[in-house]
Amino acid sequence: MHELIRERLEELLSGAPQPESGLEQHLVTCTECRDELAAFRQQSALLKTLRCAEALSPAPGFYARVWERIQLQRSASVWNALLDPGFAWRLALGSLAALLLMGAFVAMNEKAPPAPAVTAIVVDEQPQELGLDPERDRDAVLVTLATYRE
Amino acid sequence: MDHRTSDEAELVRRVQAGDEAAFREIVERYQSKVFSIIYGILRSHNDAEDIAQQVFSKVYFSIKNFDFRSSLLTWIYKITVNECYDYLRKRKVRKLVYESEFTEDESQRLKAGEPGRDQAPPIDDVLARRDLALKLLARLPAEERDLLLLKEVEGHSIEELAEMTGINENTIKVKLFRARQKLFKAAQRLARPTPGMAAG
Repeated sequence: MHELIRERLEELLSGAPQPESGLEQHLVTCTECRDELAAFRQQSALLKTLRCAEALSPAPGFYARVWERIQLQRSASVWNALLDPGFAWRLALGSLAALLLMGAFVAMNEKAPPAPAVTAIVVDEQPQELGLDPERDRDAVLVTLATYRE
Repeated sequence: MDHRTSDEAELVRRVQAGDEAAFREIVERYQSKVFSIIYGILRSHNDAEDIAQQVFSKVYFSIKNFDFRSSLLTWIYKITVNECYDYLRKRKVRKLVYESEFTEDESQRLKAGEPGRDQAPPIDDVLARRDLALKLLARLPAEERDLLLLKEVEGHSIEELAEMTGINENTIKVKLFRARQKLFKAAQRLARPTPGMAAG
């Protein structure tokens, strides 16, 4: 199809070409353009069979039915998301990562086992003489035993 | 035309913000149009109700992605045509139009096997042509199919299409020309007999 016709094709198909455009003259002499234009006209008529002549309106309560459908799809979409294999896989990975983080946190913050209570033992550094007071002697022996280190 | 500043844009923004009353306004404003588009393609009142519900449900869930590049009607139109073709694909009914509902006049003409009044073609011929148009359009990319439908079926001019889609007029003409060429080639392929069958 020649440029001249191609540029004005929509006008020609609408049946409203400019009279002085020279299109008609070209179509008289150019068989190729004339045939293609005829084919496009047939095609245009074919597409017009899809036109709906009558004005249609839905049955009363259409909006309520639409809204009900939206609510159903909304609740279904939550379950669909959970049942979606991709989502389940991501959920599993996320849970594992969260578990690892929690484990690491607990491990790092875990308190060391309480140190055995240190009993302050006051040891009299002064060597004591034994044999003066039997009770003190016994205490001194016990202290010596308790604080003995090799 | 800037689709961001229209009254329609304000309505869309309200729906995007979660205003249910604004959504209701959109449904009520476009329900007849949507029904007519669906009925024009499928010729079935029952299916029109179901598909129209699905169209508005899609509008509701996708409106947050509406970017104002086209008019709201053009956007809804695309959703509607897509839903019709999804339906046709799911049903896989090659002769769907033959199962569709007829008007009283069409039924009478079909029963009598007579051509319509005013030299109208016989009704089964009309149905076959409608079937062919749907099959050919199914072979086009969605954008080209929608443009052709808006031009030929809805009867919009090039200027209106440019305004509705936000695409300039020359680009619209080029896209339409390509779509027509593709449709023409698709029709030729469909008409060409299969080599094996022709030999037999």
